[in-house]
Amino acid sequence: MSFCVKVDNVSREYRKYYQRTFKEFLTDRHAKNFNTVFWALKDVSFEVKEGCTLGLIGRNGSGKSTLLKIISGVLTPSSGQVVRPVSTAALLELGAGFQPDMTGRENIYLNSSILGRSRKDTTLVIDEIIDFSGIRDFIDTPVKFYSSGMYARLGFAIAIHTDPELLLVDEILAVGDAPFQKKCLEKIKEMQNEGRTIILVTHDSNTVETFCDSAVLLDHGKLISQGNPVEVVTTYANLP
Amino acid sequence: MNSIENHRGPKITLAPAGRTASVFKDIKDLLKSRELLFALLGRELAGKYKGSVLGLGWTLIRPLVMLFIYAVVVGQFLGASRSVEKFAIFIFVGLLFWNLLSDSISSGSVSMTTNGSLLKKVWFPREILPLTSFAVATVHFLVQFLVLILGFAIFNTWPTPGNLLYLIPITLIVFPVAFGFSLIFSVLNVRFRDTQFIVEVGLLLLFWLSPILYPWTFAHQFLAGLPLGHVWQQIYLLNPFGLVTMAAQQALWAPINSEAGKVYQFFDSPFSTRLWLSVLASWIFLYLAQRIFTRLAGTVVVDL
Repeated sequence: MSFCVKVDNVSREYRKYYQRTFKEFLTDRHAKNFNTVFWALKDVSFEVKEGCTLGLIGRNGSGKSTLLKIISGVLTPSSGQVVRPVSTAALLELGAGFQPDMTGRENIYLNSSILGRSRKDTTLVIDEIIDFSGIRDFIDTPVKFYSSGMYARLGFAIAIHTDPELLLVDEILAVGDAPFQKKCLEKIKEMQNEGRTIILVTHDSNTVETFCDSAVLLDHGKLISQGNPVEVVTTYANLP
Repeated sequence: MNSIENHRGPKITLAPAGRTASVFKDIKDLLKSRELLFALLGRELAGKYKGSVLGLGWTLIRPLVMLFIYAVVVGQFLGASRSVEKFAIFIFVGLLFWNLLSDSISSGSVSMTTNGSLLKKVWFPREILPLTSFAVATVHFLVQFLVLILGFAIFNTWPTPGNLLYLIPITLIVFPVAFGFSLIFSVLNVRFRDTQFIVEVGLLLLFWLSPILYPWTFAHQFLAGLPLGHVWQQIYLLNPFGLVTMAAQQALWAPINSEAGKVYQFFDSPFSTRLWLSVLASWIFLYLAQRIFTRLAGTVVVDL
């Protein structure tokens, strides 16, 4: 089976000392720490086969989210490259770009178009989206009146219905109450069964073992271990 | 549920900016995202007039009041109409295009910073944001254009149909200049928040350096009196905003063809040659602006 995503020697640097204004830029130009760089990711390479689910684990600050952002295209790598399907949905932060004064329904169209879906295609699945979010009664209410749970539910429902080949999930299984979480997990399982490729970022070893076909462990921006989820999780548990 | 197996789509390569980027690919991406442009345009307009009864009608009322002020207060009380015929129309024409340029540049400059949350979470062609600012300004422009037509009727002064052809090079300058500056400033403003204030001051200066409230000949005559006078005159005429203003007056201000308006005609060098050279320069500028934008847009996200 061929690969779906290929991460090839990806590095990403951040400058530790970041200038914001012209004043700082001018005065600190010759300061010693001007060029102090910090590698959020250093030479990370791996592949995800089509239809497989990869778990991306690591501690806070290990570079998981940076990597996910690079795969989604929000950030460009400093060097190296990523090859991925054009049709990719990222559940990075839900409801990004919601317009508070517009209704839930209007926001479904707006958010879908931000995620790259045409109005016509959205119309086809809008009922599914509304049903999945479970807020049909409030769908014609401006989203500024929504609770944070409703907000996240709607965002999740929209993102998951964009028919992606590749799904990027960042710790969002903590969204909503227990029944909704269960629903999300079921939906993700369903997408696995449909042969979609998924990259799942998590702290939770349990999720990796039950959900993923393979796993990648990052620590301080470097790839420490990859392969069988159980083995990678063990390495993770034994990190110094 | 149907399986995804059968419709594997094309792949995309994400690499450091400048390596894989081509302007044609960027234009293709942009064209593919036109639905997003309309969605964002709708969001901007809906957001601006939220909770107001008249909504877009307010866009109409402001220029109407302005037209009244120019005609009565500036034209009659201050006596500007003594030196410039149909002064209200003259000034309104200049302001119409000035507003289009300055509104789209000033809101375009902050378009990346105000949409930070969006940029950090979703990928879409980043050029869409400054382009949306231009689209919003264009909608307001079109509404104000209706007021101008009303003004033609009120003052019974209609432009010569042939002169309306000037609107073609005007459009071909306004779009690349407004969009190009928005691209550069929007991405710079993420790193240096001073940019938006520099833009404000710069626009204020350019406003008075463009012959909007006065005929260009006033400045031309003054500059002629300075040492190296014709050098200053040429520098004055390099300002694309001023050129657009003059072309707009040629196109839409009827007295330009009258005996009295003849002195304001722009014949120091063949005007259309100058105009078409500016069109060329503007598109080269837009190309460079887009290159700068692509280079920086992928990396500035961390600064938001």
